[in-house]
Amino acid sequence: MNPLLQTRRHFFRNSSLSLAASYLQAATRHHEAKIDHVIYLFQAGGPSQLELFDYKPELTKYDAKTAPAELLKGKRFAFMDTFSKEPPKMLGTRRQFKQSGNGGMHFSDLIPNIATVADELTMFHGVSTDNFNHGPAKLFMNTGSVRAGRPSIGSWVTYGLGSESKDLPGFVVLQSGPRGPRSGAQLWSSGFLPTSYQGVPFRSTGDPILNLSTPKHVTPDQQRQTIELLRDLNAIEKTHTGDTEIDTRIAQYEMAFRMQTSGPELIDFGKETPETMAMYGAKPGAPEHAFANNCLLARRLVERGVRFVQLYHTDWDHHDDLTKPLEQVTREVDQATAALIKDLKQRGLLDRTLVIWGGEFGRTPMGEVREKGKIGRNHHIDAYSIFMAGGGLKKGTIVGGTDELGFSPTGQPMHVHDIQATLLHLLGIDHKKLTFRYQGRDFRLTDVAGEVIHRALS
Amino acid sequence: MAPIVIAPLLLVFAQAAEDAAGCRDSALLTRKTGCLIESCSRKDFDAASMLTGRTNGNETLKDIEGKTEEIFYLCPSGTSGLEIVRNIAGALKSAGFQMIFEGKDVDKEHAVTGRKGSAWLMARTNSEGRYHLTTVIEQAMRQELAAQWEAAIGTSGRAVIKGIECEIASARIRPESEAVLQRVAQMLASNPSWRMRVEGHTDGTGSRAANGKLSAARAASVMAWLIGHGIASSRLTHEGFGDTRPLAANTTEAGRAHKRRVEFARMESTRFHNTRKFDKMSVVDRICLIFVAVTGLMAQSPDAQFFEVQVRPILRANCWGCHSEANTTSGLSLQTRESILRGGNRGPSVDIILNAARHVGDLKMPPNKKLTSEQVAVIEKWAAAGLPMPENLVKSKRPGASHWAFQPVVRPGLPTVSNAGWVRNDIDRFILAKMEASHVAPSAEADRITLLRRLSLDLTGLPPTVEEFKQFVADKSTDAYQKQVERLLASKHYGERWGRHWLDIARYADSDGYTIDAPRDIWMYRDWVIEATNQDKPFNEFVIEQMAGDQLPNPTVPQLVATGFHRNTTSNYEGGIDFEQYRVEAVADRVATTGAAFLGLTLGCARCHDHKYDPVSQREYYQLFAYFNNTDEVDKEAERKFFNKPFLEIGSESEKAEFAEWQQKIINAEERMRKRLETYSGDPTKDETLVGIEKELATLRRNKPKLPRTMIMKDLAERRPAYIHLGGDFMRKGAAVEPGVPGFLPQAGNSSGTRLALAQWLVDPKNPLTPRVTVNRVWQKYFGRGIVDSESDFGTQGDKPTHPELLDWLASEFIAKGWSQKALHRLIVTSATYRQASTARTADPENKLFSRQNRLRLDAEVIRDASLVASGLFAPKVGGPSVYPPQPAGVYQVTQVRREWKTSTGEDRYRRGMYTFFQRSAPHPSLIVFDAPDSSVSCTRRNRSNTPLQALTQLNDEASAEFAQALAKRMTSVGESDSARLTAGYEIALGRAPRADEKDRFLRFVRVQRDSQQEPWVAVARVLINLDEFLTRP
Repeated sequence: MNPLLQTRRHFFRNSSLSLAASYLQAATRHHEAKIDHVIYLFQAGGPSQLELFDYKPELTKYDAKTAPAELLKGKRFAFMDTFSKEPPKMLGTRRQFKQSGNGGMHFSDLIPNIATVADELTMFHGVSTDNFNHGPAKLFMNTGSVRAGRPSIGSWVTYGLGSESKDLPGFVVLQSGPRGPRSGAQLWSSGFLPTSYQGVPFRSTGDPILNLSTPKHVTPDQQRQTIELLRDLNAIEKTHTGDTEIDTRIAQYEMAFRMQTSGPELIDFGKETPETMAMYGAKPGAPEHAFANNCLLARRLVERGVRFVQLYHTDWDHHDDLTKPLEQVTREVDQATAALIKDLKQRGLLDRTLVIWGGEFGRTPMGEVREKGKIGRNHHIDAYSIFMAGGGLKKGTIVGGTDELGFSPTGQPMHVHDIQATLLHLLGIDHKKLTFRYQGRDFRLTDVAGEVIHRALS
Repeated sequence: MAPIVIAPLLLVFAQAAEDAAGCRDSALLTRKTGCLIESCSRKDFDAASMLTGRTNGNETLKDIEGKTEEIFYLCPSGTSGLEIVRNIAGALKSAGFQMIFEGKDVDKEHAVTGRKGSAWLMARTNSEGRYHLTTVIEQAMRQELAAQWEAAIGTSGRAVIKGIECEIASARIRPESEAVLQRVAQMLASNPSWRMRVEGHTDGTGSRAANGKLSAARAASVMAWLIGHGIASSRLTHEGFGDTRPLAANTTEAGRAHKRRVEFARMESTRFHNTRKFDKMSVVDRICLIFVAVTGLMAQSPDAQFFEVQVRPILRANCWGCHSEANTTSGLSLQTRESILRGGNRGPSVDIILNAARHVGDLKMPPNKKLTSEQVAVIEKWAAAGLPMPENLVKSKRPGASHWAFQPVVRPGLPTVSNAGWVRNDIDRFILAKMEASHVAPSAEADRITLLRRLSLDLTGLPPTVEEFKQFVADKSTDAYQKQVERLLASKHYGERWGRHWLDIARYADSDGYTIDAPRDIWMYRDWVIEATNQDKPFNEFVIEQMAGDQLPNPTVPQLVATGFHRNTTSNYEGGIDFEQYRVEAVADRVATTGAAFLGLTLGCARCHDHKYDPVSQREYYQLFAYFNNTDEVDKEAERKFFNKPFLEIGSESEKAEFAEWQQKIINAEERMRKRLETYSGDPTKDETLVGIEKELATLRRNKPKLPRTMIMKDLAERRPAYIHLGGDFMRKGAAVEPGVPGFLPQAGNSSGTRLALAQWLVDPKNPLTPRVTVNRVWQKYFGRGIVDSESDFGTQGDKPTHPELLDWLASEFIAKGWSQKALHRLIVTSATYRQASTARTADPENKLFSRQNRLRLDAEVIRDASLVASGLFAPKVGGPSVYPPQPAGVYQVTQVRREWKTSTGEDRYRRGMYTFFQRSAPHPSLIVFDAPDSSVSCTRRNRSNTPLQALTQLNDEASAEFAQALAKRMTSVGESDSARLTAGYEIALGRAPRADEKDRFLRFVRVQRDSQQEPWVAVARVLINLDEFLTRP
């Protein structure tokens, strides 16, 4: 093995890893990067593409007709028992759709604000994934594997590129909605990569980062004096042991101190204009505005050089009702999503940032009745929709498509591993080359698959 | 293939001088007078792009493969490009070449391409009087060449291989010959039963002695090349014959060329068969030659002849590339009759193979090609005759079987060393011998404070108390250190420390993982590990009880609890899942964990296909899978309510009865609800019966009776059939498999196919991997690096041991001492190697020689434990249900099902870090921040990162603040003097007094705090538990 690689590997396995070290680490890009930052708006639970973007007038014609057996042959669904008891019926959407922008994209009346930024979007229809259960499918979207234990996409990116921020973590996770996403911290775990690449959850209440505040009785001056004392004493220890790891520890304590000073400034929206606050619909401290607050925070994080920001918003799992619960979650998400894209654009950040919006899978063209008088949709893994906005993409363009019932993709298939490969490609990373050897195997985000979706690129 | 000999064309131009070294004109065409060769290249087999046409801006090129040469000429200034090309074109035409292209290329340079039979020639001018010539003698694909060699060997016992050239009067092989040699090597590799003699022959020029020497040297260099390219040296021998076996007269150059050669002769064991007469040799124009001559072919029965002449060439050219003993794609080898009959992953049926060859059905083979109907007929005839083929076609196992780690453990002798005075036990001999060979001296022994801190942290995960330090420093007896070792090995905390190392491997956690991530009952397994470690249960029994305690005769309760080892897999109970899928995932995790924990093999790599690097086939993977496939776990929706079964219920009879009654009530109520729902069509919320049942259920669930229980392994009465999962997909079942261990390792003595049989095999003294992997992992904990750095990969892609003899010595000593872990620990910690100082040195900077100790940041749990001890809050209780020390608010914001963290009170607030309740989807942040494993999969080595989040945790966390306050109290209790208080703090936290400069700096800090009206001692204590020295095992 190349001795440099050997050193790097040993280095990574044994220590001296830090946010600071990853900051200093030279970006190892394989080709020219189109973007520097990612904001991933993860819509947890499986948003119904058929109620939002994938307009299927033909499906409406077949509404309430029993799904043809050949359509379902060989397919597997969650809650097989509900589908096997009685053949499911097709379900046309009850939503009104309108076209918006120059690319002919459709948007339902649930997301009027997102429709206004149609010309910034690249819409992917007919994306497929491997697993029809929430936890494993979320792991798959985030780590490329349905089992926990692999590094997440944000960890891979910060491992590959480091971060531009000296006083914030390179990979930040934000959470909103009534509960946490299924699989929890495993979704932003660094897996077998060093923990310095793990997503750091920022909290919406209390300290944004755990333990960012000093204990009550400790003044800022005392904290500074403490860090200085630690620095001097550790330096003495270095003269006795010669251990260079001590230098790293000194640097880490100093960075922790910087984080303590920059953290409060980061979450203080006081300097944002009323127009900006209104555009997002942000309102600090209000739980029903949590997604909007997080979108604004995401922009502020990217402005400060954070590499990868991931927002999780629950819950989109509409098995039994596509009316009020869906209206509620789209109300929480629509305005702020559009505002984030507009805001990034007006600040000149959208060119170097990728915004990606989507969940772990979509929902079936067949209806699901769990409660009399209400109708929802089951999980569907064969064809769902996500969209992106940002540098390097063909704007205002639809990529892929689905058949007239919205059941299967038409044209070249697009799989989760392809989305992951494309995301890395935009960052200047070849997904086949970003690997890490663990227990004798070179692992990568896209496992053994993944093709960059070149037709989506500008 | 017919030999290609093109007579030189018209000598258009005369020779020139001062060419680039080693370059000469093409045999097809000499140069224009006055031009020099600037550079040239020749390839024995390559592709060249020949210009065949041009349309506007595009050139049409045709890639021709064969022997190529490219020669660049520089001509005197004023030479016209057109003139050069016209001349060449004329020469080609008059030599009978067909003109393919003549004119200007896209760069407006002149070009000409011609062809005559298999010979292609292209000349193109470059700017300023330069031109280059490309020639190709077109040849068939190498693959086919090799097939022809083998076919020839099959039919006539020999074949002629051309194209291996040596330098004149030298044994140096010309680089362009490598392509041919590669193919020879491949052919030898795919015929591993052939043993060959390489013979060198020269012509008659020169003395007999010189010729003998040269011919031997040539044969040797060919042999060396082959050995260097993977042919076992045991299969090759060489000899020089000089001119003693002439094939032709020495009077002409052609004859002499004919005689200079290297011959290959196949040998039957040690007896050498004379090569046949080479009277039918083709005309040869090379400097040296290789004949492959094979004698002693199998008896020429009609079957054998049919196979050799007709079947083998088809298999060789179309099948064996992917389906050989060396490369069993889809588990199928077509190289032995037995393996064909056994079939591949799709099952044992010759029809599958025949239909694939016929292109009938989904599977069509070979891929992207169809055999001719004649070829298919040959295969069919062969199958109908019962697949006659020689038994000795392939003798060796898959590659990698000879890898060092798979060989038996051999106890090496002890090396001799010069500095014998340094040696404390036999470990030191191995370490010192290597240091002495590298001229590096060992480090001095660490001071007593360091030694005791190191020893105590390593053996118990706790720092020594002030009294323990004092006692050891004051103990002047010669066995003072030995006494400490024995004290610590006997400590109940020893089992906690080394038990926790094992729990990393066991992927122990207190919750299910995945979506629901509910708490589970398995802490009793954790306590079993601690207890077994404290009792020094021999490692072989330790393994057997965890793998298969339930299958031992009359298993005891602890033996059943031990089987929780393989129940630490994650389990998914999300709504709407296919339970079988997650059961299969759990079984796969058991295979992977078994591989990592005991065998140091990356078995998971063979789940979807044969292992790429190690000799583990996909079939063998599923044979291991089959051992674990029979557990009575939930595999269908109907069993949802029994999630996480099987359990061992450890309660009184009345507790068990009460629990069973409660469980039955729930089942009954759910059944009534289901029946009612089936018949009732109105709004269920308005139905009194349903509402009633729902209330009843809620009450029942609230009042769940306590029944201590723990997850265990228990097999079904009837074995679940196991299959190869094609492509790793549990829905695509291939051939059925029976339990079995990989073929390249010693086989199991017990063939019952039970987990017990597997466990016994793992710790069979003949199994070379388990003891090596185990001692290596223990070594790694003491030095920060294993003797094999890749502790979980002892396969061909893993690291080689830095001290292979020491590894084997330790492994054999481990077994000899009855698999006692304590004996192994005692051996290591009493060595001089372990007792060295950890100070960095310029000699051996990466410490590859273990010429010093390594400073190691403490593990996550130990940082908590050390802080607890320093603060005096430490609760020494061992075992029991997991506890809930303070955790920052909001950790559970991110979980799918909101959980409540009921902060423990009393002693449980101050328990060791290893007892903190481990919630897989939201582990306690202070554990994860310091690299505790996330317990999804087996962890054989923790990372040791160094991050600002660690600084924030140890500085600001609620728990740290509490520790600092308690430590401050201990310091201030010693009196009023600042100096005394500081010294007390140092002794408590680090076991030593502060150095003068440390004291000065600290006291300055104390003064500054006082000046700003701050109470200084909590701040001082906070600094002490954040010092690098405090966080590090020295």
